[in-house]
Amino acid sequence: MNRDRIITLLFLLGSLIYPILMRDPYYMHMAILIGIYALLAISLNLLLGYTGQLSLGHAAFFGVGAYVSSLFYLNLKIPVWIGMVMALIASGILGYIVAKLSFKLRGAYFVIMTIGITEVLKLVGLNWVDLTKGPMGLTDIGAPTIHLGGLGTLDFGDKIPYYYLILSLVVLCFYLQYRLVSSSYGRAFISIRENEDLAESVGINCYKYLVIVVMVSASIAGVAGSLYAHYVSFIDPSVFAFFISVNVVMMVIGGGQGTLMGPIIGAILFTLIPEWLRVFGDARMAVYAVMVIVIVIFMPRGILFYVTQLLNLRKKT
Amino acid sequence: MIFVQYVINGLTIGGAYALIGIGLTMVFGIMGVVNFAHGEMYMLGAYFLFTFFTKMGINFYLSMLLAIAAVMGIGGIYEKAILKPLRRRSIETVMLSMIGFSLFIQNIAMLIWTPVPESITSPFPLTAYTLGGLYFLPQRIMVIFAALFLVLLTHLLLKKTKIGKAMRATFQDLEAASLMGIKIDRIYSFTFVIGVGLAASAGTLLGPIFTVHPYIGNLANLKAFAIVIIGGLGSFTGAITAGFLLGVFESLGAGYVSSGYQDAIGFILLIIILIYRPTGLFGKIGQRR
Amino acid sequence: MHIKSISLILFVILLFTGLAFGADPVKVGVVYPLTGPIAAAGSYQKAGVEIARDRINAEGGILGNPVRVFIEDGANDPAQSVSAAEKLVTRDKVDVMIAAWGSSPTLAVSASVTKKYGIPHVVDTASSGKVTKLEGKRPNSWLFRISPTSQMEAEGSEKLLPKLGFKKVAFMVVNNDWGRGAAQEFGTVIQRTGGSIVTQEIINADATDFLTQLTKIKSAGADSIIVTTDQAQISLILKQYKSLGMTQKILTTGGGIVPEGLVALAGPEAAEGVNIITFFAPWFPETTKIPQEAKWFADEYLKRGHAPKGFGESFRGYDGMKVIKAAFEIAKTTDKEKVREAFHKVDTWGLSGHIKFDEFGQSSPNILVIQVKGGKPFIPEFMK
Repeated sequence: MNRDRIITLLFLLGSLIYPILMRDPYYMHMAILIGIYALLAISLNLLLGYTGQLSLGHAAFFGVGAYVSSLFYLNLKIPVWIGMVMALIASGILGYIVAKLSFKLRGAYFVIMTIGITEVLKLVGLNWVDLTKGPMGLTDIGAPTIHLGGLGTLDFGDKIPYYYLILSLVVLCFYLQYRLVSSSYGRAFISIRENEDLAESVGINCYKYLVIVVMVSASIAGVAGSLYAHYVSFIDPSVFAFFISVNVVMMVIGGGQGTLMGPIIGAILFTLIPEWLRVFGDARMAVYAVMVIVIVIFMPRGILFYVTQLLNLRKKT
Repeated sequence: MIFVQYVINGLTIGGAYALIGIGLTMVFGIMGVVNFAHGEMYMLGAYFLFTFFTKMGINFYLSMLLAIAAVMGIGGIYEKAILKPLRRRSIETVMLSMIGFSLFIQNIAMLIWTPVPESITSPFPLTAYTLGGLYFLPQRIMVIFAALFLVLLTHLLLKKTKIGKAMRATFQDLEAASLMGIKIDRIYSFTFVIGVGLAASAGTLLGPIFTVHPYIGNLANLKAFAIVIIGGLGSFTGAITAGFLLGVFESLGAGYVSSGYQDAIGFILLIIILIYRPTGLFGKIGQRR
Repeated sequence: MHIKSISLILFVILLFTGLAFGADPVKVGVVYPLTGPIAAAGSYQKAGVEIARDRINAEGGILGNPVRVFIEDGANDPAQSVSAAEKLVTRDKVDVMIAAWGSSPTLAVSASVTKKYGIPHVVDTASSGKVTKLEGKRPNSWLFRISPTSQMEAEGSEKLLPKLGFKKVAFMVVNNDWGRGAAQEFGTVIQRTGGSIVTQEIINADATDFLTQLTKIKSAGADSIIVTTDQAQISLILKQYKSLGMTQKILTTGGGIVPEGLVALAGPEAAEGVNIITFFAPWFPETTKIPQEAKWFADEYLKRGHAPKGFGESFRGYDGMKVIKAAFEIAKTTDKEKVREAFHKVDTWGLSGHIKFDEFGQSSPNILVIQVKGGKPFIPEFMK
């Protein structure tokens, strides 16, 4: 077992015993949000980190997942699990549509396309009041439950069970990311990132792989949205907020894009940072903006990479 | 009849859109920079007008010029200090930094001027002129004329002046222009400052019509991007046409369909253009992506 | 050092940063919009809260201790408000909350935070009926509202509407719980008084151009317009209405509007003759039952350098703190259950009128209609 694996396992162990050590509901709340964002970050990492396509519209998939899941639960009264699966499918379909619409676009054009799509979805969410209740939002979105027959009902409405639910999904997606990245798909993604024309010329059907990565990415983001909706029990069109898309990008970049643990670290950092910044009061978002600039310009390989460098340099001298 | 009124209403907003659009398309086309902070220059233009005119009591038209000059100054510093070092970086890095700056400027503005919405009382009369049952608001008519005037000025700048020629050369072929001895750095700075000045002028024109608050740049930004893409990167005519078109379509859409979806019209047009004709209505194939 | 090792150490550090807080003075948690488009209203109400806190503490605090106020930014956004509320409850361990301004974030905080944790929740602004009555039942037994519902506003002005000449009414309302609810309630009242609804225009919260809607209203033959949105937007609407040469009578609802605000933002010409529904008229302290306190509040507010256009909002925070003090003094403890019971026993006077909660946790404040005349607030004869 090499060092990487040991550390990953230690992370896992730490996450498993976290609720036992930290009983404070505020820290559980933060942990759940980190988990949801970790899923989002993993999903964007596949697209941005491994395939090299920046998207500023990931909130679209997140939001669609949240709404689909909630609407199925509220209107059709079906178990939450089915709603989550529907969310996965719906965002996957949206991903397919996005990929098809933008397959010719790269760089700035693709980014603007993603922003445009998210804005349209937000406006639909705001105005299709009959379906989404517009700015009033959807309330009383219940948490998932499992009926264990004679043993009673496992209600995920409490923080601790919900935390473990999210943790298991994060582990699952992490594993999925790992398998995908080490497979031939992963190699195709990376070759597209490095030099798309070259990849095309050696016979890699870039279009096909882009569609696949966008669909997988979208589906995971949709699940994250669904988990969010059933946790907060209230959603409104703010799930399509530009800030969410930007924050997820920061997680991927700040955590270290194109690495396995990167999105996890990024999720931890960028879920907590906006909270820590509350000490700055009104200047909160100004400081956040400065962080975005500093990280994007000076730390494109992730915060920890540079922190490590710094510490290594100190050691050498 | 109401149709014509809608069209007239749309043209006035369209004029402002066109102004913001030209500034962005110039910067986009000549420098290849995706300036997400463009909308904030618009916002600063309005705020500086507020400070000079409403707070300091300087003459309205002088205040407008001062406001535009102030924002151009800020733009110049911004270009030299931030955009220049980023020139060699990937387009993603530049975009994200611009978004960061946009957020930063918004929040600094909020801290300086407070989030309380402000109003600028322009010297123009409030009541509209009527002509055959149609209403023409003086302030808005001025916006259309000012917009056309500035467009004309910029056009003359590009076509008739030496530096304008250099800008066009840079736009067409960066390497060749550089080889011909054109100082690219200077052209870039100049272009950016002009572009920012146009956005600021849109801000001074629209500021008195609408309220001024730190977040007015957001919508301006998004509309500007939609217009630039729809019109075609780097195309002047495109930005102007798209600007007026968008204004009119939004007005008609709000009038006949629903005012809620008004803002969606721009994005939907944007998406359609991106799918079927990514280079835009007037864009040329083979331009720098 | 290996990057992974550092992250592990970081993780462990994060794991063990635990904090504990004491719980002696009464702690009030406040969630207001401090950033975003409604930041202005949030700042005015924060001023009201602070004035109340200072006055309360100057008079000995609550239960013998100075009251502490923790204010967090909810940005009038449900998700951010819930997050802010969670922090106040779990981290700062507040005893009571004032949240979260608009109807949508208030509903979110009520369902996801105060009901879940069992924290007394004072609502000082939201006007959607759903906050205190959902499908005939009380949705959150911890929630007590001192602001009126749209229905109360409508019924409170029912007798005045015919006198003001509101017969063929057009609505211009903002697209959220508040605006739509107002259109519904006032629509019902209008029809009861024999009037008719000519058209209903729904506007986006960040819209700045209303020529289309106003043109529509004009050609539909309306004689009056009822507008429900914030002061900044109403001012824009007034300016454009004036430039189109429109003369319909105007009524603003919701309570956050004041003549000074309209005059400052739209100009005295455009603001002239506008009818405003308000719950607190600082220029006429005699309309409250506590005129001395009302006058003191108005003076103190201006003395602290706050803008007069914020009068329409600031009193809310003040009354919120007042009712909290009253409840805690009745309960004589910070025990949440007892405080909840105490709220039901509160019977006091705030700047906005009588505060006493019914079985839905709803109080019935004053509904006043004032006008703007000559750039100044004016009470029409039939109001007195």
